[in-house]
Amino acid sequence: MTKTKSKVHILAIVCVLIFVAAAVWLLGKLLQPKYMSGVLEGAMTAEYYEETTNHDVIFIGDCEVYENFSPVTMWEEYGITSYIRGSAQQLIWQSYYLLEEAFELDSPKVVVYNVQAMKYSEPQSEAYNRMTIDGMPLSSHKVGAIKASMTEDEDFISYLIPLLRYHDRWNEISSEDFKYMFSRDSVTVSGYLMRSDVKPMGKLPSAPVLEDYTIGDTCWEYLDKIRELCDENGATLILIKSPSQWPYWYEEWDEQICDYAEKYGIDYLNMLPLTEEIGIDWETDTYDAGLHLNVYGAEKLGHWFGGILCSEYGLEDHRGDSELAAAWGEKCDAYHALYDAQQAELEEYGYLKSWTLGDKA
Amino acid sequence: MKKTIAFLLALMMLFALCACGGDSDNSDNKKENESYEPDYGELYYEAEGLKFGIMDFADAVLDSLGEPDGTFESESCAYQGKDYFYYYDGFEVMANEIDGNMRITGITVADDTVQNPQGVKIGMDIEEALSLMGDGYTQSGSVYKYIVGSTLLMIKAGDDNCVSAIEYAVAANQE
Repeated sequence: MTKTKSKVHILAIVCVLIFVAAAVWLLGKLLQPKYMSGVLEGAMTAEYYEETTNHDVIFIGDCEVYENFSPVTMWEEYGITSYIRGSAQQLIWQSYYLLEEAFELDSPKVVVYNVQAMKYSEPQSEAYNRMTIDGMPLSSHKVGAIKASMTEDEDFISYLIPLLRYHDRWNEISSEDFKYMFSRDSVTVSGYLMRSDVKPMGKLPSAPVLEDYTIGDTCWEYLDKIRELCDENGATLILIKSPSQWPYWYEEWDEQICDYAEKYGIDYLNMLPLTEEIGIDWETDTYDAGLHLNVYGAEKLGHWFGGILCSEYGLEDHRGDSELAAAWGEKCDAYHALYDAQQAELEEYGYLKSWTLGDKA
Repeated sequence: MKKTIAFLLALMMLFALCACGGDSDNSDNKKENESYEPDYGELYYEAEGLKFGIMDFADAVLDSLGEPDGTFESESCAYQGKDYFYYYDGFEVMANEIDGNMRITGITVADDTVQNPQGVKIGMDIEEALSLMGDGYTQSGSVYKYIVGSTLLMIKAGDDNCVSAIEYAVAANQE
C-alpha cells in the first residue's frame, strides 16, 4: 500500500514537472518578440537554419552587410551562392560564434567580414544582443555568444529560458504573437534585408571626436579567432569596410585594419573611396541619407563585388547546377516579388509599410 | 502530495517573476526633470545670444536657435532610439531622448567661422587654445579633455598642431 502510494506520488511530481516545463516553454514561445513587423532584424538569425544548400560565400557583420549587398544579384550575374549572416549591431564576438556555427552547417570558400563593428570592444545593448542571439538554436556556439555578449544587467539563464526575460510582455501580446508562435515568415532573401525606398544623402554630421582611436584588444582577439577559424576550414577571409557613409569611419581605424591585413596577408577592401567606381549614386541608392544602401545600391555593390569574387577569388559559376539553380530560382522569385510588393506599397502609401511579403509570400 | 504540487507551482511562479525587478519609476524621472539644474558651469556654448549646454532640454534650445540649415538622424549607439542632428551656421547640435525628454547630448563646432565662449576656434594653435581654456585638462593622444559635471569638452589637435575639432559631449557616454 505504502509502495503504491509513493509510486503515485512520484508519478504526480513527474507529471507536474512536465506540465511546468511545457508551460514555461509555451509561454516563452508566446511572449518572445516575433519581429515580423517594425523591427524585422530580430528575425534574421533564425532564417539561416532554413537554408537547404551550401554557400560559397558567407558575409558576417552588421547592417552594413545585410542592407548593402544583394546575394540575388551575385547569383543572377555570376552564379555565386552567398548568404549574409548579418544582424543589427552584430559585435565581432557574435560574428565569430555565428561563423563558427556556419562552418558546422555550411562549407564557405570565402568569408567576408565587415570591420565597422570593430569600433565596439565591449558589449553594448541587450536589445541588439537579443536580436542576434535569440534566433540561434541551443549549442556551444550560442552559449559562447551569450557569455561574450552579456551586458552587466543581463542573466545568462534568461537567454535559455525566454519566459524569464519576456514575461512582462504579457500586456503587449497581439495577434502577431499567436500567429508566429511556432513559425515565422522570411524577412530576408539569403540574409539580405531589402529596402526599395529612396532618401537622398544630404550633409552628414561632423566626425565625432573620440578620446581614443585605438581599436580594442577584444576586437583584435576575435579577429584573430575569425582568421584562424577560416584557416582551419580552408576558407579565404576578406575584410571589408562597406560603403555606408555614417557612422563615421576614421582614418586612424582604417590604418590599424590595413596594418593587420598586411601583417597576416589578408585582403582588406575599404569601399568608401570606391563608391564612384562601384557606381553608387547617393541621390538614388540609399534609403536613409547615406547610412545604408537601398536595393538599387545593393545591386550595384553586388554586381561590383561579385565581379571581384569571380575574377580574384576564382569562385565557381553554379548556374548550371540543377539543384542550386532550383533553390536560387525560388530565392530570385521571392526577391523580385518582394521588390514588386514594396513598389506597390510605395505607390499606395508613399512609404514602406511592411517591408516584407507577409501573407503574400 | 498537495503541498508538493503547490510548492512546485509556487517555485514556477517565483522562477517566472525573478527577472521583474529593476523597472524604472517614471514619477521619479518626472521629478528629476522638473528640478533640472545645468551642471556644465563654464562649459556651455553660446549662439544667437543663447547660452546652452549638455543635458539642457533640447526643445527649448532648438526653438530659440530657430530653423536649422539641415537635419540628420541615425540609430543611436549610446541611447535607445535615434541621434538627432541639427545643423546651424558653424556648429551642430545633437539631441537624444532620455527618460522621455529630448536632451542636448552633443555640440560640435563645425568650421572656423565660429568660436566657443572662451574664444577657441578650429585652426588655432593648440597651445593658444589651451591657454584660453585654462588648466584642468587631461590629454589622451591628440585630444585634450575638460570635464565639468556631465559635460566633456574635447579639443583635438591635428598633425599641424592646430585645433582640428571642438566637441561638447556627455561625459559618461564617451567610448
